[in-house]
Amino acid sequence: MVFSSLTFLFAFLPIALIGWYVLPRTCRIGFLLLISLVFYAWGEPLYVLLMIGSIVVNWAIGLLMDRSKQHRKLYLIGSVVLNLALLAVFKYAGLFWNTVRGLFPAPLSEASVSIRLPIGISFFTFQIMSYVIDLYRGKAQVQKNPIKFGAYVAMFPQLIAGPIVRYVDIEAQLDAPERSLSGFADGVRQFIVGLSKKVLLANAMAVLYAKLCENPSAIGILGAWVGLFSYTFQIYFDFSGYSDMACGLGRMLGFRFVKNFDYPYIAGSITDFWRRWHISLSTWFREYVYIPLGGNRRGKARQMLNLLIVWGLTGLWHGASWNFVLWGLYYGVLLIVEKLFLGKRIERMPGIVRHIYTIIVVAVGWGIFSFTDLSALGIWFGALIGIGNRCLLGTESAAWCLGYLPMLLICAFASTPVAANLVKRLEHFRWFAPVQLAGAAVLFLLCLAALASQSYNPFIYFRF
Amino acid sequence: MKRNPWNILTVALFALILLAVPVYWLFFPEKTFSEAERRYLAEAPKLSAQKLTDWSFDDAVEGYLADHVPLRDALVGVNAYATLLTGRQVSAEAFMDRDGYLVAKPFEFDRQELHKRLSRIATLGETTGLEPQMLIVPSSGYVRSGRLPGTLAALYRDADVLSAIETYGGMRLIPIEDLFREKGQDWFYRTDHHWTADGAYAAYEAYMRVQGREPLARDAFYHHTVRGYVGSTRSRSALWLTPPETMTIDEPIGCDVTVTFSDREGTFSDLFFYEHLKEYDWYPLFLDGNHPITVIENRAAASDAPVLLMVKDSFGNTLAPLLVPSYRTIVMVDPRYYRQSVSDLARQYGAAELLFCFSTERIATDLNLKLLK
Repeated sequence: MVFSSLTFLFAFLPIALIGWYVLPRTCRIGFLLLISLVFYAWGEPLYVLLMIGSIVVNWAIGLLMDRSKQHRKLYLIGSVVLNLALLAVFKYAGLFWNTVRGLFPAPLSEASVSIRLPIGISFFTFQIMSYVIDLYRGKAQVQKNPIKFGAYVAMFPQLIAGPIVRYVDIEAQLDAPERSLSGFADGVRQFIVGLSKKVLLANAMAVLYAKLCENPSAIGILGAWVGLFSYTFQIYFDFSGYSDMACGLGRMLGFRFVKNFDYPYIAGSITDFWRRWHISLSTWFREYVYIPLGGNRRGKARQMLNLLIVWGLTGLWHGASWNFVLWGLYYGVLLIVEKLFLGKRIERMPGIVRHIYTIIVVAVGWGIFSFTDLSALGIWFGALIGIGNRCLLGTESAAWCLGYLPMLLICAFASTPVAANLVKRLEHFRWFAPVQLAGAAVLFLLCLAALASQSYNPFIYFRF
Repeated sequence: MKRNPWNILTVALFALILLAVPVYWLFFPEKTFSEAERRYLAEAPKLSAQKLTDWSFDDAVEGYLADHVPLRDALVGVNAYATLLTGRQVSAEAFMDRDGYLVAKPFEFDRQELHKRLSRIATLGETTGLEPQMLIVPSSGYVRSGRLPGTLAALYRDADVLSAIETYGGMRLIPIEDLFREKGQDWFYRTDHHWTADGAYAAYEAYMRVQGREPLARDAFYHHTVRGYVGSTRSRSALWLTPPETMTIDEPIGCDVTVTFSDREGTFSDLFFYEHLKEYDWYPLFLDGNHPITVIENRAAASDAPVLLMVKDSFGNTLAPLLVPSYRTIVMVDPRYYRQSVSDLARQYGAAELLFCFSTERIATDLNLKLLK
């Protein structure tokens, strides 16, 4: 179930909120776990058992680790291996097998591996690992209550698309969620902003991108660049919209999740971009991979290697396809180059140059990200520089690009903190509260209108 | 701590909306038919293990809920206007031009496929010994392209279709393209893709002149008007603020007609079927809409008046009444519903003229035309 659906908004969410606020304090967390499992099972009726199994085993390992003095490391290794094995089997087995088959086609040509990816497995597995590792390090307390541990892992707001909430960040909140009217109202506003990002902006950009992708050789060089930027906006508003909705829902329930995006497209360098994009994932990799590998403490060469490992893995985390690894390494190399010499030079450049450099590098990165088929990726990049695509703008793509220009400009504006800063400055004026409420109501109405229109399908009798 | 009243209102309003929709679903009677969309709405999906595991249940539930969301037509309209106001008409089913006309989005076609259809038509001309007369109606979007915003006009490819027909050979294209482009801005309904009485008359006039005959003056027809017509393009667009319009009906004077249909019992003495004004779609008012074969006999016609075989889509239904005074018999065939031999029909009725009356879209895209024989 996705948040931007009528099923979620008008069937699941009312039940979840009523239950959470009406039930006695003692059963709330249990209810949250139960309803989160229903949320997951709606899309994954079988794999929900896998998630429950993973919760139970890791909770038990946590208990054993807490009680043991000598075998703590063994339990840690067991848990990490188990969790990575889950990912390896359910997410990467197909990629691994296809790659091996590509290398040794003769004996293996008939065999194939087809395991469907359980939704959100990358997110909940990483959350579970953060608990076990922090418990081992002594940073987190053991969670003896399996219901609470289950609720932490499966909590529906962040279950399927993050943010990746580390256990230490939410440990205390699980015992005493902060329930307040102002928190709930903030949550509603944040949720509506996120829903609008997804339904009004990301979905519109998705339509434009899909249209331009239909025939890359006829869209023209400009059309290819507009396509690249439409995808750049789509992925940002899709993902950050989802994170905003998650944080908003969390606030409605009384939880505060970490901020996952901080206007990444205004970044002045790639290093800066990754401080602002999917912050919870970058934090996770820094805490649990980069620093344990030695980080920057073992000399420059080792640091560079560590960066490449981390970014190769970051790429792979995003999907079981080599283009994601390529995308990760692309950033690994760029970050190394910035660390070694480019970073200082970039800092001395005028702001506008830094922003243009960053956004173009990021957009090209999304190009690599979007094509799991490497030959399609080649065709698109050819189109960007006029190979196999000689005109500046095709007839059809001109109509589409021109038509979507206002939305592209709205997306560009919404990628900056201008509106949020304005809201902050105006918040203390008394007249602003009704304006803010009206704005949220209009956005919500537009989202509902878009959701209701998804099945609008007039049957026009063929009386032509 | 004093509570902020605006926070209370925000939460209350959100809770109200969140609860109102499921209450509506649970306690209000379910609508089964949408007048705006002219279709039956989705029924509640039935659960099965198969549907659960292949995700189709989730999609079915979402589609069902979207179909039955309260104030659905209004919400769909809001979305349509939001799309229009943000310039994204290009992704819509219909465009609104600068004069408020709604025109259907451009069709896509394959030139080779068009040639296959034209080849069938040319062959039919050879087997019947009658040169096919091609009265092909350009789309309202193409005719009114000068009034379309942005570069939408460039998407209409009617000219390609018409020039392909003109140069194909074995048929004659009735030259109405320039006439419509120059004078026909108002010859289409604002809310529908069909031509108005004016458009049909202009095409009739052009056709008669090409056949070397004097067309009847416009005054030679009675003009009836009905108000409140809402066409299918408005349904497609969901731009509900587009006002209904007036439909004019040109009725030939002094004809004694009998109309028969291949798929409807009875013989009728009228070209217009006003009972359709009670329905959502008024266009079948003309000759009861589309039938496999419609035969119009005019007993008042001169004894040497010819027989016309018209292969047509719905545009032909408004053209035929204008042609009635000049023909003894008009046999109308709709290839979407008639799969047997058209040349046999020509022989059976002793047709002296073979007219193809179609929209550019239909001639370019309708697969049934490839089955003509």
